Amino acid sequence: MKGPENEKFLVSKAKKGDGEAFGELVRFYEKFVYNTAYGFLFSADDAFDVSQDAFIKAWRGIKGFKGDSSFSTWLYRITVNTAKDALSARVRRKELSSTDSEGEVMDTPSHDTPETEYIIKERREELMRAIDSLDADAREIIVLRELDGLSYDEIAELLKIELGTVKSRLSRARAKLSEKLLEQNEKFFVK
Amino acid sequence: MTCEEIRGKLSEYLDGECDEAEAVAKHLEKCPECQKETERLISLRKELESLVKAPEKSLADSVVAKIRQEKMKKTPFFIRHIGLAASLLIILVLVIYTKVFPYGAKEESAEIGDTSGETVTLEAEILDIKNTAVLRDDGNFSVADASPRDEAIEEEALKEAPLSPNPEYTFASDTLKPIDILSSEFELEKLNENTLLVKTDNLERVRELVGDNYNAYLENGVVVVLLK
Repeated sequence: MKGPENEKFLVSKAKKGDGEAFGELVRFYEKFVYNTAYGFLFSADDAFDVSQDAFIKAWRGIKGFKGDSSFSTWLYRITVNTAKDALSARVRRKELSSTDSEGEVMDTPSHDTPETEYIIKERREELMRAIDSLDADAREIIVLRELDGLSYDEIAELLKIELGTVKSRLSRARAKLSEKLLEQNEKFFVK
Repeated sequence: MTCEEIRGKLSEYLDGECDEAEAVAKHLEKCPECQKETERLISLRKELESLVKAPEKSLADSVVAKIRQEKMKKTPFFIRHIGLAASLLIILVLVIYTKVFPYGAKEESAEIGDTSGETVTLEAEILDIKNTAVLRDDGNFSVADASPRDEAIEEEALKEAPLSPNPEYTFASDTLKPIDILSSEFELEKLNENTLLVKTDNLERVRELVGDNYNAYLENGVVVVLLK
């Protein structure tokens, strides 16, 4: 994805130990990193913690960043690995993702009636469960496109795949997600 | 294109990334099944959009704060506290200096009043004043009132040698306070309006300077003078 205009300058300053320059990079990428983490964990608190850990890992490792890939690709990899670790830890603790996400939906400020709120909450839980059931590639591309809002070109660059692969992988992932949602609730798409 | 082929392109078509958008559009106009699939994908996209979030707190602030903490931990202890160490060292040096040279300040400032080329020491002046002054109830010295000499002689003396304009008098005034007299010889600290601490254990000398009208006593190695 396209970074800030002065990214190279900020990265070189951060490599020399300038925490404030690194802070500027965090400010630019924080939504991207957070939504990527959220796409794995579906918990605001966990996503925040994972994002923070990912940025700290990046800070500690920035001297070793050679610039062979873009900074965003490097940061994305760190985020995904950190999120996967957190997910594994959660599974090990036998925490149910539905329990986590329940709190999330309730936390969302809303002016809807209790009935409408309940329906929205149910739909979001179904959606999260369906995403959880996708394979890693499908889930990754859904998160990048739908949650991070990256363009096809940006996804291709980030994942180092061809544009055609982005198109076909995303198409299959969406089809699979629809299928999973219909399996859970055949009226999911009925208004 | 078949329906299967079209459905494989619907995802990119809805994202505006399809090279064959016209063909897909034409197909959709006449195929209700593919239209239904398109609506489903649009609905899915809207549902997914609802998951997009922004962190509630600034990640940048918390990350920068953590980085600062890490940097502090990596900084050696003595460098982190160098300011404190320097302050303590200065205080230590001052304490040692004042212990070793308790009258250093007096020696440096005792010689004053060099305007006419003649040096007049404060000590001599104080002794002279003491002989001619007594302390009034308000805590001030009064030269005129204090003199043990004959009143006429005193008046004459005052006429002959008025205190104020004479540059050789460093405390030229018709009244003198104990604080003025003592400050020439000792380091003082005014504890409050009524109490003066004289940093010496020479009680006799202090009494000599301020006279008997002031209560002065020794306490914890310093002389306490009650001004009232």
